[in-house]
Amino acid sequence: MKKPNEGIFHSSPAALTGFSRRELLARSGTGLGMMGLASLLGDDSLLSTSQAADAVSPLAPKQPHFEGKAKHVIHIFCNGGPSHVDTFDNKPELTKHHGKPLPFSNLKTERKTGHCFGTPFSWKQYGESGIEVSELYAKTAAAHIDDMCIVRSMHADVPNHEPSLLLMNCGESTLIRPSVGSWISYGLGTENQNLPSFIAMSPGGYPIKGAQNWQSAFLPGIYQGTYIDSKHRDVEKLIANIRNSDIPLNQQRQQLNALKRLNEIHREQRGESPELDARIENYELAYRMQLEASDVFDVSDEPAHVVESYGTSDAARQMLIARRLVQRGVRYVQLWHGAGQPWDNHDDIEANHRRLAGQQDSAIAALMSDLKRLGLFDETLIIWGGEFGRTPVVELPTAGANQGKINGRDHNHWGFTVWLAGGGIRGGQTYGTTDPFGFRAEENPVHVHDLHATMLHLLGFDHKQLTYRYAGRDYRLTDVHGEVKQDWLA
Amino acid sequence: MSRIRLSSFSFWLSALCLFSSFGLVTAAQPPASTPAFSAEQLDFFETNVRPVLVSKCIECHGPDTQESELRIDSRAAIIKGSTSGSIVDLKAPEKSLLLQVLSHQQDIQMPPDEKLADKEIAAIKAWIELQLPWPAGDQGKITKYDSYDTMRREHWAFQPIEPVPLPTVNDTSWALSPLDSLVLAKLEAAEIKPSPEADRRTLIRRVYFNLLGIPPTPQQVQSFVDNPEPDAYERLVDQVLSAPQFGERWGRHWLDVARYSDTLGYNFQRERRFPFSYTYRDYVVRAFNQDIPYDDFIRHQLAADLMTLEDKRNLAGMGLLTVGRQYRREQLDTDDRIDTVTRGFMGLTVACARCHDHKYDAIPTEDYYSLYGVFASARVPAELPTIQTPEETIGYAQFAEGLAVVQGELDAYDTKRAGEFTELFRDKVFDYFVRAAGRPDETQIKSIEALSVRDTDIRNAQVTQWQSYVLKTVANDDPFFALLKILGTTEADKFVEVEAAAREKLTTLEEGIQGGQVNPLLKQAYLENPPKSVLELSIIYANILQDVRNETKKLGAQLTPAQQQVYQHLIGENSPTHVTLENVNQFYNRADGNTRNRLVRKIDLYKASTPGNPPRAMVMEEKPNPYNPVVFIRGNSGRRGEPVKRQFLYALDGDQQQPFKNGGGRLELAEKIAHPDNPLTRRVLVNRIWSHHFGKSLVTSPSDFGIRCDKPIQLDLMDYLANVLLENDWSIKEVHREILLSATFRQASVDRPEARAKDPENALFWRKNRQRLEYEAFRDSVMYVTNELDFRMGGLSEDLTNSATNHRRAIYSFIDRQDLAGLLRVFDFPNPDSHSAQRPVTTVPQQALFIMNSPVILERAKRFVLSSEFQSTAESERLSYLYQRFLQRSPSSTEEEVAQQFFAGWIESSETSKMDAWQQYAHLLLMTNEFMFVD
Repeated sequence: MKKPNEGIFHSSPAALTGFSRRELLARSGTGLGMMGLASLLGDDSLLSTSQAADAVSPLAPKQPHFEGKAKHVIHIFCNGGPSHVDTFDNKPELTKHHGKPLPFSNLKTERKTGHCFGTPFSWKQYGESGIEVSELYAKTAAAHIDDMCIVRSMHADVPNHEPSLLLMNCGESTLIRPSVGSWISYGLGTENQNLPSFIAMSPGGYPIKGAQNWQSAFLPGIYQGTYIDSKHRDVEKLIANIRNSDIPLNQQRQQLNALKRLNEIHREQRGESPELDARIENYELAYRMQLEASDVFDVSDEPAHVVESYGTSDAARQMLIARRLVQRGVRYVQLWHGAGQPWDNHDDIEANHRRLAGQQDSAIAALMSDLKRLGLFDETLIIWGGEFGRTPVVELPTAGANQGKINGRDHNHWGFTVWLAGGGIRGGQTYGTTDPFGFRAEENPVHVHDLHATMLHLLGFDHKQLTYRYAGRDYRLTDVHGEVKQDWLA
Repeated sequence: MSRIRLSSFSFWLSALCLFSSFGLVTAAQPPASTPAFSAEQLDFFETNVRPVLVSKCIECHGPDTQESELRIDSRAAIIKGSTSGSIVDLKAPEKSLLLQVLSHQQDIQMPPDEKLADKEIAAIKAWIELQLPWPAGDQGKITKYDSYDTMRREHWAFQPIEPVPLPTVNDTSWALSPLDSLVLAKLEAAEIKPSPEADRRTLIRRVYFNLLGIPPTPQQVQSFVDNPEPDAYERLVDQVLSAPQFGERWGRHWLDVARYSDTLGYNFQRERRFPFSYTYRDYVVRAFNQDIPYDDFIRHQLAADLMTLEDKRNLAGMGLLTVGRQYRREQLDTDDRIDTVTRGFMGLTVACARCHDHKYDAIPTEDYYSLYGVFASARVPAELPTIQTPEETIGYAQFAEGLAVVQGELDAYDTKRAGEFTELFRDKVFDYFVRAAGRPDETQIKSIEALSVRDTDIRNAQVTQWQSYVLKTVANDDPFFALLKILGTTEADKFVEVEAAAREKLTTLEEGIQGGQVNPLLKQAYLENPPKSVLELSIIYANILQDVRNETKKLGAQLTPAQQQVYQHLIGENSPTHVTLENVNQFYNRADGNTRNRLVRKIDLYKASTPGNPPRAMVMEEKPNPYNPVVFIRGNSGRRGEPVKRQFLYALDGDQQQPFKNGGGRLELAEKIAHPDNPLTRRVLVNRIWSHHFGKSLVTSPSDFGIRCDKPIQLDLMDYLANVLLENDWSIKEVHREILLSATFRQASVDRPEARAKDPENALFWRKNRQRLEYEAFRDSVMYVTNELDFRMGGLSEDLTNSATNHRRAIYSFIDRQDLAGLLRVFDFPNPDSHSAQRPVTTVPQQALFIMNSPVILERAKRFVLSSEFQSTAESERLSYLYQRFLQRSPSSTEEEVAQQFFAGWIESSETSKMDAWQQYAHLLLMTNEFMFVD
């Protein structure tokens, strides 16, 4: 009773801070450098059990609980809350009642709402599955609908951005908990030690709640998402200190060579010392990272037709970068549409949603096609959605806010859509429904915790077993909730 | 667990067969009425039996689980027995099934893990012979508190800190203090010799880095190395301990415990910076420098507001409570405080008991809410107390000048808007008055053509103010409003009746503008077109008001006395249309509010970022009435359970728990934590100090001394230091002195394979661990050795992580918990959202990239080489000069060769090279492991 399993997924800060040789080596995050380091130390046991050594490293690849279908995640986050009834959840009843009151009373959302607001967009059935999608995502649907699982019965807890963002990203609305990407980095490590494991891109600045959306909370800081302002084209602005403004690479190489010699002289006088070895190797790793990171964010080597197929918006360009990251083994890529909450269309929803989806549709279609072409689609889980959806009824104007405009929708946590595709997902299906007007999840409701449980399952984890001991108890992403949705699985 | 279940199942199954075959199963004995037991017998049960039942049986045979349907938590339950009948035979005790299974003689063995001690079995046998003495009533019940008592009795951390006896050691020459003897005894037992003392350069560097976070100067090293006095080292330690940088170094360690940050976390509307978080940080630095006794340090941080303080700056210690993330929900803020205080000071994870009893430790959920009551009885005062007068505050005059400017902008906005609203409400009085008096619905509004303001533009507060003005402020005999006061509240179905009576009365009233008369304007308008509803009545009034207002706008307008009387209601001091600076707030809509918020934030930002603002302490104060806590079932404040007392923890007070008497009990809580008899507080502190000096904690979890924290190998060492603390009046510096002067600390850090083979983790301290500098110490050292460290102490935090030009010590970095600087994160800086037990030590390439490429580091090397000191050094002496400055030694000949090769092979500057060879070499010395690690 006193000692629960001390498996790898039961590690704790104490386990990370001990000073044992193996841990130190492992902690150096030197997946690729590991073999070299092991031979440097003349430690055969390390060589022969490098996999075991990897298993305790914070970012080296780790085995999940079982073989997961997905190895990477690309999460396309429409921050602000996209309207499900204008994108993936058509409601003819709503159109029929346009301008009239709902037959039931409006559910409570953030602001005052009024009568039914039929979708202004046209809809069409796509693919063999015949799933209906609005014109906003015509290209994505036309090319990939039979690989997409449209979950129309999502629901969350409250109609406000901040708690809903945290719930969607960290599984908890208020308290400080690690984000999904941090949990997955903790559980799986990453395949490319020269790049961060978890990257969050948002062109032009932070979304609401900022870095909290990709926080590692009580997990070690290395599992935190690395934020990248994808508006920039210059790699120096993308990753801190990735280039030296004063010393050209050839000189830096000489500098590092001399450094290495001095460090070796220093180490020889001190006997066995894994912490010194790890730091020697770390400079070499950093040197390689300069090259690799510059390369991955520089899309100029992509053929023109590829760049064109994604489109020119920042939101589109970062999808191309996302593909390059996944190609190089990055574990979790989150793509925020932009700073603040662009999808929060309390008014002018037709114009705004058309613009926003316009920046995405070609890029999502191109991204999925690319992944399929490269053979990465089956091991990459793609998720599209926001922190909640929007009301099927029109939002009434608030003085000083959207005054005089009665053409938008309020937040709606009662029912909304996300879709998943790729790694382990059975496509060409819809799951669950909202009521005939699209207000509340009705059939097969899916809570955000269920989404998280299923994501972890796809990556090879039992969400109840992926835990971390902190402040005296074992925490998990789904707390005491969550149910894996077997119907979504391929 | 499953193993226990299985074996116990098979046990009962086979027991059943056994008994059947021998025909021993009798009908369950009639439940004997409980005999009266003597006090002596009951005492026997309490002392010898209950503890065994609680610790060995109840988990599988108690209230939660009943293997084989057996419970042993009451006398009746034991007599009733299990699926196979009674387990005791009161007539022939030796035949009791219970005794057979306890004996482990047969297949069936209980407890399954380990046989009870013979003494325990004998006690149970005797107890059965005594006919199972068991106290009647509540006293007899076995509850969770019984297992808590076991934990309190058995878990090492809850045992009193006793004097530590000196062990005998073979080598009597090595130990310099009792501490060393304790270490040596274990080393000798493991047949490991301690390492020799480190050389003097290593020692002085170790002392400087550990205590101050910066290296010594080459001169300081030289004079220590050359000092022939026998007490040279002691004097060095004393001297370094008294340097003011000590408080900065160890203050930062404490700020990890205190989850210090300069921002309150997420807030969409308000400025996120704390204006006075730095006063807490400065208090902590000063507390370490002045060696404020640790018990006072605890009291200051929990309850300085309730103490008589000699130095009012100590009030700022209370920042501990509120410098955490502000969740804007009292329950969450309070939880954060409970967690920080209990883990930080006592290594108890009390916050685990928020939703249910602690899963492992002796912390019932009731205790969580007892502490909840203490903290929820406190609040942040409307205005924080100053700890320095404006006169004492440097730069105050300039600060006040700037503040007046930004404050003026806000006042000007409010003044402007108040004037605009006043004019608007008068010009549009018809619209507001009809809505106030007539309360029209949506359709009615559409029917009133004269309305010109849309519903969405109406400021609702003006409408309600008109209502309250007419009903409450205006005199009952007012010549204009008296009629409305009577008629305006008439219900629709009575209106015709009441109106007729009112009209009759009206015709008889004298016209005039005195009380009791009727204003002729009203009488005329009313009688011309008597209203059929309250709405029509309100329109009559609204028209008169509007007409008068319009009249005044005409050139050379002269109001009649009747008009004057009406107009006074519109422009009088008490008129609802009169908007003042005090009430303008009520009329702001979302857009106005946003504009105003921007101005408020500007003021808040100014206050939080401009020096010269007289410092204030982030205190809490007692609420007028203490909060009486109840358990929130499953942590849900909407589900209120049993009331609990504000009192200290059962884990520490046991059955001596007493409700706190004074107010919310915060000071009493502090006294409980700081009490010499508290077995946790001192142990937790000395372990933290030790782990910073040795890079290794004495326990597995420095902030969780609960049941899952194994007894440390070095418990005696920990207790010895805990006693040093107490014997020296809680002096933290004395603990440092004790550690630093020990032979254990002075050992070399060089590896010794033969010792490592026996103790690979160095758990016995056969050498000093080599420690890597934390981010703060590394950065400060780079600044220091390049002559650029800015030693200014205290004051507002500043952005240091992004600045290559601000050279203050890293402890003065602005810490934004909402967006913690990436640099801090890659260097293992702890998450400031909750108490940090220990920083992880990771090695990731982003750390190397910072040192290789960041201007913060590059600039130091560049400027150092450009300094006149360096430039005036002869070429042949330069390498030696660099080594002395950066590493406090001369280069070896091999190192000179490396340098020569570097300079010989240096590729002449290309266009992009902005650093010459010396600058690059200085830079690379800052990158060395020798610079980063303390031997």
